[in-house]
Amino acid sequence: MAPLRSISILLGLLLGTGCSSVTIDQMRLSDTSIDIDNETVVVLGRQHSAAYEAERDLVNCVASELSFGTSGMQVIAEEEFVNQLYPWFEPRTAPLSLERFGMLLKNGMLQEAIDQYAIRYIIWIEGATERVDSSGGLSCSITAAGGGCLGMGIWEDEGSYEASIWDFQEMQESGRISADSRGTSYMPAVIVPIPLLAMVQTDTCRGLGKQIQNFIVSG
Amino acid sequence: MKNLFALLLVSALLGCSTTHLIEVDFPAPLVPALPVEARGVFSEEFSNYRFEQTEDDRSDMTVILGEAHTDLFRTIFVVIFDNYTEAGEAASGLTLQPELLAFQYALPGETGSNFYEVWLRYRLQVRSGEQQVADWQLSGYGRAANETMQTQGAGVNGATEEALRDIGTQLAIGFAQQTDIQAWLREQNP
Repeated sequence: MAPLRSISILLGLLLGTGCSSVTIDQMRLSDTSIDIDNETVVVLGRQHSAAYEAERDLVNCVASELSFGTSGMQVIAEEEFVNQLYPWFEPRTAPLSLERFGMLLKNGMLQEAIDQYAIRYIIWIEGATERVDSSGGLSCSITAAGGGCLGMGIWEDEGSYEASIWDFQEMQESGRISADSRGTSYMPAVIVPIPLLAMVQTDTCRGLGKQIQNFIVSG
Repeated sequence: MKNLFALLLVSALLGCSTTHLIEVDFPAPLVPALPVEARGVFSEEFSNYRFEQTEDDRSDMTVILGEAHTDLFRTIFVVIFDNYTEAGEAASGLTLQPELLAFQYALPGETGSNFYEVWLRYRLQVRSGEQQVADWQLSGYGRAANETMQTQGAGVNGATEEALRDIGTQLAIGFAQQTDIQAWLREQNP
């Protein structure tokens, strides 16, 4: 029983130990501040181009990071915001610049709907995580005597994202934060495959979320 | 053993054909209403539309779209006209009849991408009495990422929802901007 327990603990330790690294860069364009009790932020994924389409999971994850901790902010859910303001934040219509956004706000209905959310910052995220390399091989088989896998799979994921922070009150861009990440995952298999996953997207989300929160709060 | 083989065979055959019912809740658009009386006409064929894929080199697939796209057009029409109905004849004002011209889709892997994709093309005929006011074609595109553990149904539904929302966006914002519609509106309020 003891060897089995040791193997289980070893497997548990090994899971999720693929390696990944995240590099964050920040460019501040203006001062920031937020009244956490009375103002909100919304995190939106850019969807206008297939090349820059941010995954919904990542957008939701960044929003969750922003609402976490002692500097946690009130974050409006992307789906709710986009549905309430339909059709002005669809891939075809979402404003790509503050000038265009200012023009859209001349539509009184839109301005009124946004005002109800007490939005201070709109955070646009664009980018994607892609598999850039994979090698090795894994084969599994099932026979009457049992089944198992043998081999080794290796793959590398790369993420590149940029968050653009718009100050809705001042109608200016406050800054940009970029996150580049890379990670290698392994899947060795001797009878049972053991996934050693690099959580590239999750690590990027955490890094980006914390940095955006710090950027806004530290002004 | 014979029973197991039969079960596997039946499962494999069933696996070749799938049916997806598109279920979507469309938000009401945030646009001003036109001061116009309008009547929507949805043909039986339109309301019960189902796309059936029977090409030899692709798996059979049925997409039940009728209710979803009828809901979409209805949701938009209700908001963009001051006075909208689907009953009787419009004494004055506009009669609108949408028609689906094309439904196309691509599954992950078919195009080398990791997305479900859907393309839609509609024709919206707008009449005032016997007079044709506009004959407008709208094309919509939607896609949904192929996520881990996601069913094909969820992927097709997601991409179709996006494509329908794209049609709704054009309809809600673009209807009043159509040259023919603007000309008709000017005729009504010279």
